[in-house]
Amino acid sequence: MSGDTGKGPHRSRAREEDECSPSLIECEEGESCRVVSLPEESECARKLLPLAILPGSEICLVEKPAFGAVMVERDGDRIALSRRLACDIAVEQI
Amino acid sequence: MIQESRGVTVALAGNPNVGKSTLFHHLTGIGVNISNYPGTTVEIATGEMEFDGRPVEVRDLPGVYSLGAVSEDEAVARRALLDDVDVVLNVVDASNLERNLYLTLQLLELGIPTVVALNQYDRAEKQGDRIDPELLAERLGVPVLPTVASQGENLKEALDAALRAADRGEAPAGTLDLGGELAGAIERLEDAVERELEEPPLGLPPYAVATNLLEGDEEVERLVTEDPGGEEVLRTAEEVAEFIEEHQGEKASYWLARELHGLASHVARDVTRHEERRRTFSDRLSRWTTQTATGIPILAGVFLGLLGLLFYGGGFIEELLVGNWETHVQPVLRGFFESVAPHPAVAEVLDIGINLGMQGILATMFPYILVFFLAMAVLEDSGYLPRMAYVLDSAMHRIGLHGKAAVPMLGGFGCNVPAIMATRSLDTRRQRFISSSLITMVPCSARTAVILGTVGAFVGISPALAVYGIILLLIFAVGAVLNRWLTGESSGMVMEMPPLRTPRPKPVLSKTWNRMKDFLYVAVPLLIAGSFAIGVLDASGALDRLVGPLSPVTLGLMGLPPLVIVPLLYGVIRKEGALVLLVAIAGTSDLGAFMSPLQLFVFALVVSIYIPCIATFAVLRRELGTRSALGISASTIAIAVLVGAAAYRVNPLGLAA
Repeated sequence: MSGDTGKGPHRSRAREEDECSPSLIECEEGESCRVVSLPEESECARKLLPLAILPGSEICLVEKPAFGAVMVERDGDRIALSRRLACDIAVEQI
Repeated sequence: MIQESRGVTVALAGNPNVGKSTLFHHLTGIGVNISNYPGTTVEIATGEMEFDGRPVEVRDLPGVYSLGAVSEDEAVARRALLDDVDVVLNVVDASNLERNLYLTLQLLELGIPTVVALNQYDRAEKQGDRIDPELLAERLGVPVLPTVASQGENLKEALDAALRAADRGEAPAGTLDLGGELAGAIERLEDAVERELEEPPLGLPPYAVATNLLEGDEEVERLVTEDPGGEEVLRTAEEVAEFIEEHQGEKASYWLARELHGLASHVARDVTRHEERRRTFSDRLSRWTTQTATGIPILAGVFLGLLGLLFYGGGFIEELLVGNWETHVQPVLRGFFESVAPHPAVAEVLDIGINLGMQGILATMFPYILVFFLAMAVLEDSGYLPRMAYVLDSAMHRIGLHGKAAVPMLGGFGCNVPAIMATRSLDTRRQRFISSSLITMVPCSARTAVILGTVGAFVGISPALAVYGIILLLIFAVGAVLNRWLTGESSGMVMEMPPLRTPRPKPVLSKTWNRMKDFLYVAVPLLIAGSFAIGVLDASGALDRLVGPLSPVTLGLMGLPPLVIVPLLYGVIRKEGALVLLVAIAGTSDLGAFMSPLQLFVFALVVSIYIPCIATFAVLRRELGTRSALGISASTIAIAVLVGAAAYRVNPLGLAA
């Protein structure tokens, strides 16, 4: 219960950082990162919001197989994300 | 609020995999009614019971993470909540309190009396979390009862608290206090909703309508648009959303979610004393099921185990049923038909219609489907299926699907009909089309019976497995082709991994029985009617007239005895019927004497692939339309003839011709 729902300043910068932020898929397996922005397509975002994955959230890429979906952990929850979606989530290192 | 005659309606609401269904089955027992919510494919289970001498209806809503209607599940959960519910029993996973409270906070805004069941309390303690239920009750403003649904602990007390809350009829005070300066903006929208709308959408309170509009909830938006005063409300909503975006630098929907999560996190931290988290065996097992190195062997093991259970478990029940039917019931029925029928042809029609019809049902459908449904219910309850979907995601992407589609496809091994219905959980029509097409080729239990009854019994178990192998390769190849042909993207997958747990007998049996029941009521009459139709065609000689004209295909292309066209046609009605009729035209149950091993191999392949059975066709037509259903059927016939001809000519296993 870290409550990292991100009240920090990063969220207002989200849009500008979009261009140069690495995507979640570029993280190493086991690496933690902070979400900078979610893909524009709102449907995916709406699936992620109730799971507390939103700009500012801290997540850890726990499994990154050679192909297919990846697994992230957020506050003890393990959530599978399709690879495409992981490519579209911009993150920053912490 | 409560009418004496109607009793009390309790709705169970909560996230997926929080033990909601276990709690439900503990309260209501096995005799529950699972039906689709009107106009949807989403299942809602209801159970009626008596508690302290009062009639109580318990409604188990689909598990959802939020009340925003993104998926059909969520829309149904919201509708069913607002549909004459006296009290909400919100089942919360104590081992994951913060995330669960997100939904709780939304529920508290609905204006319905609410009680929280702090479930899996034991699990939370094992994890090192100590939650203070009284403090939580104080913070939420509603009664909170710690429960352990899997042990039946404290459930009666929770229900009792819910009924008392229903009697009081007090809506929760509402704990949301969002955003200081922005509260005024939301209030403005709330006022507009209250003032302008003739009828609140879905009966939602104004505050909920306001937040739903800001979240961009399509259903609420649509309903507001239809309202005479909707225009003004939508305009205000737009202004408020813009105002929030300006102030917060992010979309209103993000901001709302963040505020709600922040509040949930705040409450959760206040009421929890966190001790060091201990890693349980279930955690480790959970990791093994998804990591590539261990996950794939585990998946293979589960799959082979399932097939083995189907072969041996189903086979055992089949022998038991068919043996008794043949020796005790069949001769009696046949004698009866002969004695009452005015003409031998009528006796024959009756004999085929009822005797062979029932034998087919007992021989294949019943035992194999029962075993399969049971195994699927165990897998579902254990929490393994999402892990399977995750591991298979990469393979599924090659055929234009994502991992989630693996679950209905696995279901296809039991019966294609419910499997195709289950593809509704997929997001796009493209995915539904591809997965439905492929499911029609998945060897269902009826086809398993044909494969085992021909190749398995008279050629050997490895050639029977080879038939499966060829079919699976074909499914993959067809999927890859469809993926190339059809334009469009597969949408993103977001899927939480539930904790693994030991399956509980009650929910497993209840689920199995309910599916079996639906299947028997729908399929059995259709199958008996089909048997009668074939009986009439057979007795009138119409079937035999097809044998000659089609022999270039059967004998010429695939090397099969021309007479097999009769069982092949029958297989359109019922796949396993192809086996029953093959025995009938062979005049002996020793098929090895009638056909060569290669012919049996080709026959099993063709029966498995060509044309979905009538029930599958009907559901395909309903889900995808007549043109798609006909197209899929025609394609499978073409593929079956091609594969049959190729197998006959190439003879990959070197079987005796």
